[in-house]
Amino acid sequence: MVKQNRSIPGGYAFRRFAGRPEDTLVQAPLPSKVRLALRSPAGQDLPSLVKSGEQVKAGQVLARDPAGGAFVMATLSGRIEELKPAAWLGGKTKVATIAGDGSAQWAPLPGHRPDWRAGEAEALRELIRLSGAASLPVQTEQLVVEAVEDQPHNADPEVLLKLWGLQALVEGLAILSKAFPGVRLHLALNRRRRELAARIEEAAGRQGLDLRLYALAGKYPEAHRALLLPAVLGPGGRGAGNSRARQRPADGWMEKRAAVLDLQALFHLRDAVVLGKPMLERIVALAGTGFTHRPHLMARIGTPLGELVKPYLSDGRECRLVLNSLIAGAAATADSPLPAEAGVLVAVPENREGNFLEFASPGFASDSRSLTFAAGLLSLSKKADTNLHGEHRACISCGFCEDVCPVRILPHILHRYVQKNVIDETLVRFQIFRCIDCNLCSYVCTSKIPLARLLREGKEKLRKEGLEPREVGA
Amino acid sequence: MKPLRSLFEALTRARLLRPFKPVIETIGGILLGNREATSEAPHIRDHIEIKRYMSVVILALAPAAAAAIVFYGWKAVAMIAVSYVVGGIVEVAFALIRKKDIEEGFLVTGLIFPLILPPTAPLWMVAVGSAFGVFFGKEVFGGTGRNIFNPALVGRIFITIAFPELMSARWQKPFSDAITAATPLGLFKSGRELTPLMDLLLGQVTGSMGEIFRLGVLVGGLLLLITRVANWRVPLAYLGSVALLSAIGNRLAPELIAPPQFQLLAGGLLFGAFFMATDPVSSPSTKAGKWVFGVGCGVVTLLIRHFSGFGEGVMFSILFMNAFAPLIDTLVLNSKYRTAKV
Repeated sequence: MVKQNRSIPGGYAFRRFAGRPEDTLVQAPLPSKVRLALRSPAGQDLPSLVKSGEQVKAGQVLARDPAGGAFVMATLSGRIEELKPAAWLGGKTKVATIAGDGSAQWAPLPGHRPDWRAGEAEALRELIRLSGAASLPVQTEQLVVEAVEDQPHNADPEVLLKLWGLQALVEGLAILSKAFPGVRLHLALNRRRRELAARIEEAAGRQGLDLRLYALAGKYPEAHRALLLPAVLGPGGRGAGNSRARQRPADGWMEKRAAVLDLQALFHLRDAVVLGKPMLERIVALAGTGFTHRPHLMARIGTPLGELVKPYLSDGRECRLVLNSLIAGAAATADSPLPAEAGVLVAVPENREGNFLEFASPGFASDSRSLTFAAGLLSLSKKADTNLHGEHRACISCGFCEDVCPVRILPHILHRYVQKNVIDETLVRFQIFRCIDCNLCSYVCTSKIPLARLLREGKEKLRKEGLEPREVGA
Repeated sequence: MKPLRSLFEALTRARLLRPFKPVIETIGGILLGNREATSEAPHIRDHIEIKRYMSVVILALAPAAAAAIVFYGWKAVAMIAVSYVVGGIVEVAFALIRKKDIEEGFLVTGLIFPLILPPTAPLWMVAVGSAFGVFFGKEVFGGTGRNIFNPALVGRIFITIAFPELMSARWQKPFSDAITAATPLGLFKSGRELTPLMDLLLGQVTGSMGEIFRLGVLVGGLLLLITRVANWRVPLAYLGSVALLSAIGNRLAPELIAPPQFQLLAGGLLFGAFFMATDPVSSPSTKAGKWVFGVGCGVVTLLIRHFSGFGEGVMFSILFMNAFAPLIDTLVLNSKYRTAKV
């Protein structure tokens, strides 16, 4: 039984955005070089194990945290061309550049065996960790595999399934249930994928796998970890859950015992255990009207995005490259490398010109949560660009931000305090720290107020003043 | 579009026109839109903007305004024009003094104001009321978004109190020259006479210019709700509480309190509930607050209609509850976050 109608409070469904990825998969050519930041997913710099000029093989560990388990591996065989600090995601960190030697070979993971069913749980967990596909805590009790498609542009899970096959998906789940004894497996899909859910359910049933499927509404930001877990697992976390989780998201229990895995990571993890293959590649879906063709590309992690997308970018139109999410993702340059968590790469046209009499136009391609444009009323395809589509104005308390807020706080009230620089306990009392930075309030604002940025500023200032409550900050 | 863009850029730079920069920039903004692009996530934005928002309100007012023009002819056109011109002068003057953009909220106020006046109101009074409403109802608070009261109602209440005779005893039915003191609510109060509902719905009664064609008001109000420009909670709470309380009251004291179907269609209730109580700036901003506000408006409206010397209570009730909006919000926030751990 697929459990229906799981969702979050508030949220917004981005529907029918033009420039959806095509359902094709293209193997990108081996890149001339890859760039890899030598730091942990948590943002900690890791001491390097290699020197500049050294030959490395894909899959070889380049840097490792001597204390913890974090590591970075080479995703391309070749020579370390450069090993020096460089600007990285706002900060600075040591970056290794590997010039490829043209070979597609990779070093298999140590300790892998084809008959994984005979192996120990601990050995399986170690393989999964070494593959770089997922880092799951040993005590994981609830595991949610996520393919919710809650963004304006999403990768197509059917493409992943076409490549790996239903069998691999079930095998990946079986590996997880063996590696984490007693773990309960959940799969969250978009409710449009009814047919896919039925196929997966049937295949899992044939293997005797206890898998729970959920059909989510596809509202952004359902896939956000802090919201997905309570939506799927229910308010308490352990139980079956209500149809609408209205409690405080992600309490301490969920932090430690529940995990979210994206669908692609599940396939990579399966390859690591069955084939001994480390996660060197990612499938990234090209999306947005800035591309002429939008296949799903299989490419090495660390590939400079410019090199990757060049054949697909349309000429003569200035575009912004955005990773994973137009709403919360970071803008990328041609130099930015393909990150290990990539799923979608959007090319959205820049618009620094404005549109003639836009406020009075019918809006046949304009997205709006309010139903004041023809596209919303007639269910037409919508075109996105980077323009603000309106002037900055004072807040008129229209309440749109409150309606969409998935954690039920009041951005229209909170932002006034931050704007006036009144940073005190009132903000904490009004639950500013529940904000998960989903940016939806900024998206819907009628007065084009950067609400999410103001809330972030407020949280930062409160942290500096030591006013962050412990149970939330932990 | 390029030549137009360069024309406006040249105009903004012109030294001679510098005092009028806000006016030029506003006209440029209306014609050409904002050139600004996002600089961070979210990289795309909802296409809604204040201009669109206010345009939808004006579109929703169109049936009522058109009916006023059909019913009262050039007089109605002149009243709307005077309201826009005088209110516009005040708005532009303040924009020039503040050196800020002209705010679009005025386009709605300037249309609502003449629509809530008796069709017999002299044009000089329209001018006085419009100027007063924009000045004291909005600009002294700091402009759109900061006003406590609905500016159109502030103007209306000022002239009601200043010129009571002209504002409450001189009504005129559509397509007729006869001046009368009787309104449907007044007729019920004096003689328990219930005006036929169809006459109320189609506007063949006396009343303020824009409120009487209630079919058009309903259509416009529904447009506001469907497009999500107006929050549905306020009109539902307002109309719902009037209907419920008058049903109870009519059962208990049929001589004193009119039945709900008459209450809903008489006076300015529909117009007020859809177009003035829903003003997001002067009503509470929290969801729970909107319910309280709507019910409060309903209770006060009925109290004034049946227990005071005034015939109609919609205007007073909304202004009265406007004054309480900040308090309602504060109470809602305090109770919502009372148990919060700090």
